[in-house]
Amino acid sequence: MDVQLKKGLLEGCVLRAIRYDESYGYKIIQDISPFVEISESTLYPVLKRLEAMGMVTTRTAEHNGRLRRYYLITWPGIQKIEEFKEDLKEITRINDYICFEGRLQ
Amino acid sequence: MTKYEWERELKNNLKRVPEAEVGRILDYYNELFADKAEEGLSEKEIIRKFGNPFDVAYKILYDYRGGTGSNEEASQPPYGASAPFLEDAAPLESPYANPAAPPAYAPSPSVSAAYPPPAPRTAAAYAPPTPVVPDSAPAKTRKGRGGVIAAKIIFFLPYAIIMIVMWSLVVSFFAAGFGSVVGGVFYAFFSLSLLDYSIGASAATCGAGIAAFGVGCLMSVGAYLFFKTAKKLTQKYFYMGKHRR
Repeated sequence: MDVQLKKGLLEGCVLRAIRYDESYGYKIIQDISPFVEISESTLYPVLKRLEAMGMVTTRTAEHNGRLRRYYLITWPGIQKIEEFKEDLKEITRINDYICFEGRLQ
Repeated sequence: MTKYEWERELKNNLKRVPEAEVGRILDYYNELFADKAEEGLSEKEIIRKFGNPFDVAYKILYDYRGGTGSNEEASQPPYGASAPFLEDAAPLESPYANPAAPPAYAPSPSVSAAYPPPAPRTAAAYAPPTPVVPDSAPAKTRKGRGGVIAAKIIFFLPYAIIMIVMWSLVVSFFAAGFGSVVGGVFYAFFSLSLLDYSIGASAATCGAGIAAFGVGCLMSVGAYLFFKTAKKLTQKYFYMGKHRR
């Protein structure tokens, strides 16, 4: 898949994975991987970026005697998901043109 | 490769990355390692799945270069002051590096409680205009979605019936065509066994078999064309149902 396109889609997937409840690295990968190919090394930059953009915050909590970093969605993150929905409508229209030459309109 | 070796390799490849950031990356992989080990995976397996440390480092470096945009100049270090994570690194690192210190965020599991973030963070700029409780948003969306689905079902019911009738016809056409082909072939072969009984009967049966085979072929072709039309219509139908309001 196109790198830029996947980058954006992964952000959406990660936000969705933590939308209703906080989550941690391993669980996010497990939740997302049925839908999109993701590896540990791919997830890290995505989380980093989302955090830098203020769409995700983190907290650490103890789990089995070690620390685990949990990722929480913020209000801008929720708004980003809504933006994704709008974008998707546009993408659907373009897809219709590319794949069906607009016959389904 | 052991975990220790893997980490050392990764560190070697991240020499130009600030120490605090390297610490975060290692924490991230340590956590994943522990989580996977809890699942019962072996050290070797986990390290193999993490991939080549060089590739991992490359991905991290590449992403920041791409993410910050204008780091092509040689004079600028790969992590220019413009890199957003640099400002973040210090306040973030403190609770993480020192577990005894109270965390910067209230350690409450609920999303609403963890928000708003502490003031010095860049995220503070995004302070929500109204403290909307995120939990209420999904409920609203779900309710709305249910109504839309119901409306779609009622609105598209006639289409659904047409679909069902059309697909039944396609299936029956195919069945009839297939049956004729198989029957025709069977009859053509069956006629051979009539040869010593009567040549006339054998020839007639053979002819009937071949005729049935031909009719079956025509029906199959017809069914295939019908199937293509039905498929197109169904795609259109589902497409409307899914993406069109």
